[in-house]
Amino acid sequence: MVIKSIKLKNFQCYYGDKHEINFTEGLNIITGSIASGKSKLFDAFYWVLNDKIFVTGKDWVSTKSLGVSLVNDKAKYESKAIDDLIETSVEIVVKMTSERNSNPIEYTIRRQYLITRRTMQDCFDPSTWTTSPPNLIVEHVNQKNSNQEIAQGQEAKEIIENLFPSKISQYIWFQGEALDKLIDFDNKGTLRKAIDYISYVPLYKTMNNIISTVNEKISRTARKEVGKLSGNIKLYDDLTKKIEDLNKITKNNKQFVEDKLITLGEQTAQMEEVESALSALAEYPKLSEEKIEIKNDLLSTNNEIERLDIIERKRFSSLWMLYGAKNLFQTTTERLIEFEDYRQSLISKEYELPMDVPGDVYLNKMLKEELCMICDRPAKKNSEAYDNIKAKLNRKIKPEYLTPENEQINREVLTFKSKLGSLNRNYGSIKSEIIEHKTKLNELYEERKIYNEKLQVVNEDIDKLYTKRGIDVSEGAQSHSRKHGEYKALNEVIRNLNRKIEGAKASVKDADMNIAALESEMSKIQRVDNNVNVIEEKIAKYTKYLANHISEIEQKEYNKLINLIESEANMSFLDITSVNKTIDGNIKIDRETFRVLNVDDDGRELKNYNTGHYTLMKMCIINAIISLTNDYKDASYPFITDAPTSNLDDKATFAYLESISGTFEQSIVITKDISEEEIKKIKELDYISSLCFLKIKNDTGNEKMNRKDAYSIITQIKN
Amino acid sequence: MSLVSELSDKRLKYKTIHREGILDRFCGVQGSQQVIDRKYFSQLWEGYTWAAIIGFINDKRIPLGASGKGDAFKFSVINNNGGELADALILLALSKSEIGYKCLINPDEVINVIEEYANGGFEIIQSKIRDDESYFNNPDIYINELLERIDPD
Repeated sequence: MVIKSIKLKNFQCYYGDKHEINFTEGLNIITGSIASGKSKLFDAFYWVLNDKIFVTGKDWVSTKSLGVSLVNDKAKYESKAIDDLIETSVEIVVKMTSERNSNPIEYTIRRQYLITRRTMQDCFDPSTWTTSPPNLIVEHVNQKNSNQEIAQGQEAKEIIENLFPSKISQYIWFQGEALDKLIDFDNKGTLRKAIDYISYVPLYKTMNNIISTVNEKISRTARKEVGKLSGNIKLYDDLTKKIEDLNKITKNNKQFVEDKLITLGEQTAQMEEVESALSALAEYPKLSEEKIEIKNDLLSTNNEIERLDIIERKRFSSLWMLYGAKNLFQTTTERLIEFEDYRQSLISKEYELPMDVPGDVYLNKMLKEELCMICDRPAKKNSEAYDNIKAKLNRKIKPEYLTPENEQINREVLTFKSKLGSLNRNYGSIKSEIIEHKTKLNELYEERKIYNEKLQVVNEDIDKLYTKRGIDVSEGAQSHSRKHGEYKALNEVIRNLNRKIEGAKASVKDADMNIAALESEMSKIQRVDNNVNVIEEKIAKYTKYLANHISEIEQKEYNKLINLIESEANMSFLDITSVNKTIDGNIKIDRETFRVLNVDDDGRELKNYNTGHYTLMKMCIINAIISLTNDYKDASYPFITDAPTSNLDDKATFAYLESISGTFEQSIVITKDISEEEIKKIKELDYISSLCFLKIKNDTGNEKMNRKDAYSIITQIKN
Repeated sequence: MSLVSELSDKRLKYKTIHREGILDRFCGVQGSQQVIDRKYFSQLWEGYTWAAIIGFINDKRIPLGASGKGDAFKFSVINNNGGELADALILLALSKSEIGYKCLINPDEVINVIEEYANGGFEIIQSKIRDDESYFNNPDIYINELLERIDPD
């Protein structure tokens, strides 16, 4: 089976109806940074098939409980009138190939959710909207008559169950962060259920039950018939009664052991949870302290960014915005010089023979003395010479450079020349100031990014204390005291259960020995006629043999599958560990407790593995289960996983991806582990058949994303 | 009276569409110091001066036209707040004025030149916004725009 495409409309962070991804066989990668819509895409796959999504801290949440939060915020924000209708829908196309039909059948599965605006209050308030139950439709073309068949409701659900059986679906849908909630390998029943689904073990179990019941009935009849031939009927009847009583006791005790073992398994799992919670309480203070430290670092980085931002704005509006005007200031300088040159040229003119020399004082002296002191000739009063001298009085010609206009320009030129000088001096340092500022700011942004990533890791770790270990760490001492109480009570219950189980087992053993003794005594009683054959006696022997034999086969088949899962899982594990030397050892499934262990070559458990390694081991087991399902059931399922590799380094991530590309006919991996820069490189990898990139954006240009305008976009890079 | 004193009472006019399309988007109201969602320029004069300098540097001079004039503010606002930038605007006007140094005694010419280059600057900014609505919403873009300018070393 292959998922061909997914289409989303107004689903969570996917605004509008332009979101479609086409998938191919092989490994399909969807990548994007934090909060780009990856987990929402995984939710979309899960929601369209199951009407629910996984919410950290809340487990599985149905559409009914999710309500309008399922609908894109931007779409809600853009609604402007009562009765506005918003459609949220997810549609996947699944191609199913089977041996019966040579042509594959394509199923289009669409789940649609409609909300209608009833008031003009806050659009994000659930009471603002009227909701309708989600509508599920499955369409396909009937192979026989080529008609388009449309199934809805229960009929549609049955088709989905047929396509993705619920018993195996938990292995198909794998969300890294919710691994422990999805597949709890610590619970003894988990692997058992998977094995039951993919193998013939349940068939052997049924056969064994039938044969055992037949054996019981035939043995009873045989004893009755043999008793009739007995030489001592009374003794034979007494022994028969005793044997049947013991058989009843044994049967009851066996049932008791089986029931109590189930309870013991549940109580042990609960105990492990409590133990985990208690260790979580011990981890919390350290994580909490770490979180405070990171937050303080983040705060001081943000304060520094804020400080630089204020400085930047101040400097931008005082001098920086002039950067690039150097040529213009040069022109200004030239214009100022131009005036100065002009003025200088006027001053130079003043060195030529002045028109107003001699001045009035000298002229008056000449008139008084009636003598021209320039040519030293007489200038008698009323003579022509005298009149000429007199006419030169009161001439006062001012130099041109001293005209009011030139004087004013000169003052301004002097003022602005000085200002220009000052500006030019300050201008010189603008570039280095800007570059220094930008470098510092970039360093701080990088620092902030690192702190934010660290904070996210710590928050996730704290969140895991709650989601995976079931404890509210904020309650602190109260939680500790309560959990300690639970621990003591469970300890007592488990001890009692073990005692009862051992007691019942001992009773079964005793009863078996007593039955054997009674049967031996019975066989010693002489029959009245040794030639009479009791057919039931012979049949009882065969049925007993058969029951034992089937039981052995069941156990062998079970062990064989565990071995196969273990060996397949180890093959994937080896692929990954060969490139990541920090992880070593082998995967081992403990046959008693079904715990997944990391062991050395001699089978000794290694203690130095962390959560990441443990997750990786579990993922390898999941791969093995799905792969064996394909072999045993001749049915292939797509493997769809979100954040499977968040604990691995780059090399191990790629090794993991390469490993699953060879395991499944189709796998869809949603991961944050591939950076934007790496995308170009991995696009060329042969084992990646399609590649998509998710990004969050808005149309406002604000760096800060706001729920009312931000939305995810999908870019298909390789297909 | 000095040129600066005479300019103090003169008003710098600009088109109303640039008030709405540019200044209001990039400039806060006077005195606003809110950290969240604050605009890059805290006052209108800063945005106007920035536009004028972009106009001068890109040699984009566009007359306002009689009908286009709408809003205005006094040159003294720049002089009182921006100090050196007010002097720089006069010096830039001097570099571009067709009457050369004589504009130093002609405040109306200085105002006219600044207005026309600011108008040109507004047009440049407007075209960048038309190409990308979010262009100037990224706070880094202002500095980046500076570094993109050509400056002979």
